Amino acid sequence: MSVLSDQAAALAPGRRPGLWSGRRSRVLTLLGRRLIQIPVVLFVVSILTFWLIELVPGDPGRNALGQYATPAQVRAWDVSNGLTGPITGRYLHWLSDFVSGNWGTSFVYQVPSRPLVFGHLVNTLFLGLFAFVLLVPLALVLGSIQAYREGGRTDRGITIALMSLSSVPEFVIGVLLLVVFAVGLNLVPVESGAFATGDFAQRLQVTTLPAVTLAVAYLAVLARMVRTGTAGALTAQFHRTAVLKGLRPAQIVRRHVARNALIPTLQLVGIYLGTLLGGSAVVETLFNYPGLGALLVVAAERKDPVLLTDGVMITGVIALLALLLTDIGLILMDPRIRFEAGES
Amino acid sequence: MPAVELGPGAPGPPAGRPDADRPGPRWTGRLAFAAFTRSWQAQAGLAVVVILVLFCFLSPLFYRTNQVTVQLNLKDLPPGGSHPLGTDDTGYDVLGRLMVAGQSSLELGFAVAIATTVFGTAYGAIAGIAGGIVDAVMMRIVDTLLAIPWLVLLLILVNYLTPNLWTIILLLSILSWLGVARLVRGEVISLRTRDFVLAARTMGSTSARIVFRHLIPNALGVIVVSATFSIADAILALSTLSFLGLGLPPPHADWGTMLTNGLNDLFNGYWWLVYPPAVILIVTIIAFSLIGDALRDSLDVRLRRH
Amino acid sequence: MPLNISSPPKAGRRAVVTTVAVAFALVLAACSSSGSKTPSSGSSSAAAAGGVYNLGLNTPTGSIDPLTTADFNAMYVVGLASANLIIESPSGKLEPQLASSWTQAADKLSWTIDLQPNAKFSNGKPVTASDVIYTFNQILGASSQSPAKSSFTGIVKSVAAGSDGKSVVFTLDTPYSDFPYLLTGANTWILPSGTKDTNWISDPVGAGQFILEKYTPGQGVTYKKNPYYWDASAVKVSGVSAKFFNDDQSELLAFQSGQIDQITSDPSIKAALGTSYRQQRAGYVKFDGLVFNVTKAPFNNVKVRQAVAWALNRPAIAQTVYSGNATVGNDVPTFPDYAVQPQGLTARSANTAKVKQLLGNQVISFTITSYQGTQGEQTYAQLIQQQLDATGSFKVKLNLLTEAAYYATTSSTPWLNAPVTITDWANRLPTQLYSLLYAPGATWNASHYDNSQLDKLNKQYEATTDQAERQTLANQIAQIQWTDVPVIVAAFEQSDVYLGQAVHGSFPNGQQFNGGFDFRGITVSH
Repeated sequence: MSVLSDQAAALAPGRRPGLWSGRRSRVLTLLGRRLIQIPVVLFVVSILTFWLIELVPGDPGRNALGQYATPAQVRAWDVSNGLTGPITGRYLHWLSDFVSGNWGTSFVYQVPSRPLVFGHLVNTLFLGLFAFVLLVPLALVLGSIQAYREGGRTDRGITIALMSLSSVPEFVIGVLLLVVFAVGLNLVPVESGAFATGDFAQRLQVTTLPAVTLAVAYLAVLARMVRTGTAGALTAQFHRTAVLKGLRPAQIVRRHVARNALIPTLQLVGIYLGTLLGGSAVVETLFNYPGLGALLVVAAERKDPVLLTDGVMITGVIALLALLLTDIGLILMDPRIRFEAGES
Repeated sequence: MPAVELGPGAPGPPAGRPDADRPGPRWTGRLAFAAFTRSWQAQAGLAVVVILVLFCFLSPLFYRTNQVTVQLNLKDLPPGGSHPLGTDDTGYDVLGRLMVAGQSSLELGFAVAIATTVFGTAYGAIAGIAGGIVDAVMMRIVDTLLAIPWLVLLLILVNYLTPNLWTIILLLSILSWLGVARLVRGEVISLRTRDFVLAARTMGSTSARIVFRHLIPNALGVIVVSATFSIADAILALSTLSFLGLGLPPPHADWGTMLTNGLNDLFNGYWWLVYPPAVILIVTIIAFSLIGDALRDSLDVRLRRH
Repeated sequence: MPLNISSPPKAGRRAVVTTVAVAFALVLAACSSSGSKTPSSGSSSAAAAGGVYNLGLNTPTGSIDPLTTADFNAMYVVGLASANLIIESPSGKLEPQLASSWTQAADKLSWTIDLQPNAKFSNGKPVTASDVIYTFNQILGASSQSPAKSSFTGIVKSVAAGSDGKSVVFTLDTPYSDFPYLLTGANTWILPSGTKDTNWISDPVGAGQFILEKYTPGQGVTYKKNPYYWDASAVKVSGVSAKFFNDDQSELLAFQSGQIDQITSDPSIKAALGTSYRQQRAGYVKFDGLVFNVTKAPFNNVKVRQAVAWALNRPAIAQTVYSGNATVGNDVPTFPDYAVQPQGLTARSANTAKVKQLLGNQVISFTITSYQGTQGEQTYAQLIQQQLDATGSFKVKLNLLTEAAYYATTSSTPWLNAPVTITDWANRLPTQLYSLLYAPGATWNASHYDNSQLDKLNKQYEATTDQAERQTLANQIAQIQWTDVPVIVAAFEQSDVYLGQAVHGSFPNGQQFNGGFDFRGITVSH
């Protein structure tokens, strides 16, 4: 690939069919490789998780039965919950359960693990989607304003405001929102969890505060990406051409600038998904929102290997898909990356 | 825009020139530095950081307070007299505590940033330059760790190791180098197909020479910017740990723990336990973010903050 | 964690508030006290007379099963739907529950428990002698995992139906005059004969005041009134909705916004709520024992232990650590609500002259090991450090671990091995606490104390029914505990509950597990 064609690609991504098909084949190769690698990584993740949870001090049997139980009773409890014996044997037992789809029981909650994990996953994705819906329009507006006023007073003002917002720990923002909207105005319940079983309107109501807290945490990052992307597109050749052609600003934005924001957006969704499950755990814990992040925090604290490993498998699949998404974005965005044979 | 790194017309001597081995970005680095020092973000951010460092490390020499043993007879005193910012719920002087806590927070921020940057850069560079199977295996190791939610990993490890400043630095470093490694690897892969590297390779430079003379200097922008942000991230992460009850044990303190404890007095009007740590924590993070921003603009690094 | 099972453990997490939040909070606190509040619509299924009581609990950490449940929150969940034979009031008095009366045989080796004639389970079936026998066979059986088993081991020989078919006879190995108190404990809820000992939560049948309708893991439980409860007409609320909280701050906010009807008081909550809400005493909860390992220097010297005991300012501890909700202790683990209080001891108070007399001019250095958190141990450790250092005879350091590290299950676990530790102990009979804390070779005997004389006196005390003799023995036991000080008991904490404006009436038997979570007489208006 010559320097010249590189430049062309950078200026008008995706416009030359030949280039596009070349990338498509690279993307397909990447997909093929990852399809083999992801299960291997997940396998390693499961071993690692199962082994790591052994490190947590504390005896689940003692926690469950309390101080008055005798050591023999505690041992009997551990045996009946499958927590004793060589770790290899227990791991293989877990693995065969997991692969067969019959996921065993969480001893912390005393219910089957699979519906628990998927129920909480749906809640977290709902929370994430809600936050994303709140986030995107706001970030697009703020980022575009900044890009059009780049270097100006508005740009600086928004930068400082967003930076200040992202400097406040999210649990602080959460408590702040609770104090105002739950205690002060009584618009929403303090506790999301105990109410999140009702109809859709009620779910929206209880998810609002956690979603806003989550959205605030991501707003600065996203607005910055929009600002950079838009600013880049505004100074690009095709934009200048469009301006010279006499297109109206709205048309320019729609036809050119927005289209070129597609790839960064793809990457962003990847990053967002990848960090959502870990990042939402604090928010979920604060609001007692029944999400997967908070569930895994409990499983880790209470040493529930079955629930934890099952849950981590699910977050693992999502995190790895998210990484794949960002890598695809990287191929599409940067013309110089060559995913040669053996790489991915 | 100054000093283009990822732009189409990459700097560096064109292919085939005799001095192709000369590292590309030296003169652009100087330009970038000038641009950096000119920006208002850098000036404001650096000024705040210098003041903070002096406040935390130097002023305790002049403003001496007892920060080791509790004095419950002096607890919750309002500001005034010998306690300009009052005392907290165990009788520590709040102003003095801010300094001591700031030492922990800043030390942690810098230590984590250095550790993750050094390790993450080396790891990412090796993966990127080696390519092939080595790269695939190394990056899947990173993926493996990224696949486990960081909070879960942190909870397990923090319960395993007794929390103190050093173990928390270790833990946050273990969790933060992953992003740096991915970033640097991406940058290296992108750079190594550039003309000046190809040229160097054609001219018979060794791999090590290419890495140290070309790739790392060219990737330096990305690395420095990410290091700056990771200081802020580490200080913020420590405050999250405090929220989860896994912060530094007393009598040690950090700003996050102070803020967390201030909560106990949320409704009884002890504002001096909440305002000072909150303000100093937020100002610190903003300062590092400003510096990071200025660096990013002057080096024109397209950096995704994870 | 394991040791304080009867007091509501507060979640370790702490939320934080910024400057703005405080400002808002102050403004809003002002607004909300003047304006009228409408409770959230989220839980307004209460239509029947008496209403639904909204209860806030921490998420249970142990199993939820009548036979094995061990943490306070799980006990609350089970206890609302279950009933004991007997319950204990906050003042230490025994009250009838499924049993109407209880009598000791002349030979002191058996107790006859008469059942309420109209006691029924939530499925409408009557509570019979065979159900009681079944329950205790489950508790005492060879494969039993019930923590209650150890309370009865060596005491109960057999359980059989009484001759009239409406009573149960417990035959004992040795005389045990406090036996009825053992029937008030958790894990002695009566189960219908044939109940499987696993997965009670999926088929929760009990003879309690409420019927468990729905359990949502990690979120909450809903109950409706049990029409078959033996004293059902006294239960006025139509149901209970329990919500699980992971965070103290959000629980407090939920209480202030009226979403839950009560909150357990602790120093920070007391500071936040002040006197604007009605408080009710829930009962004595625990003491924080300063436990000396008598096998390790410097505490192998009894004078050092006594010197520490004489250096403490106990009223200041009660005030600072428990925000006044405590009664000063005198290094004897007899809770103030227990019927037989030891007499004849000098009440220890801060006395620097005594300390100097015991130690001479030496300065004793040591490190107190305990754990971080908001349950009082951390503040207690810090306060002891301050008080001891102030005497000039001690130099104290603190080693505050995480709770998990402190209670690690390894053989070198800090809480059983460090030279001096702080551990909380729940409200139990003095003899039970003796056998857990002081008895030679007892697993939790962190002081490694061994006194055969004390052991003998306790056995005699357990067996005696004569009040005068019990008093004499109690005095002798206390004298040894007071003189040898393997454990310093500086204060007994009481638990208070703040009740919301919608709650009317008061809880007749507090809200401790041995009071049976008794909602008789309570109504709510929302």
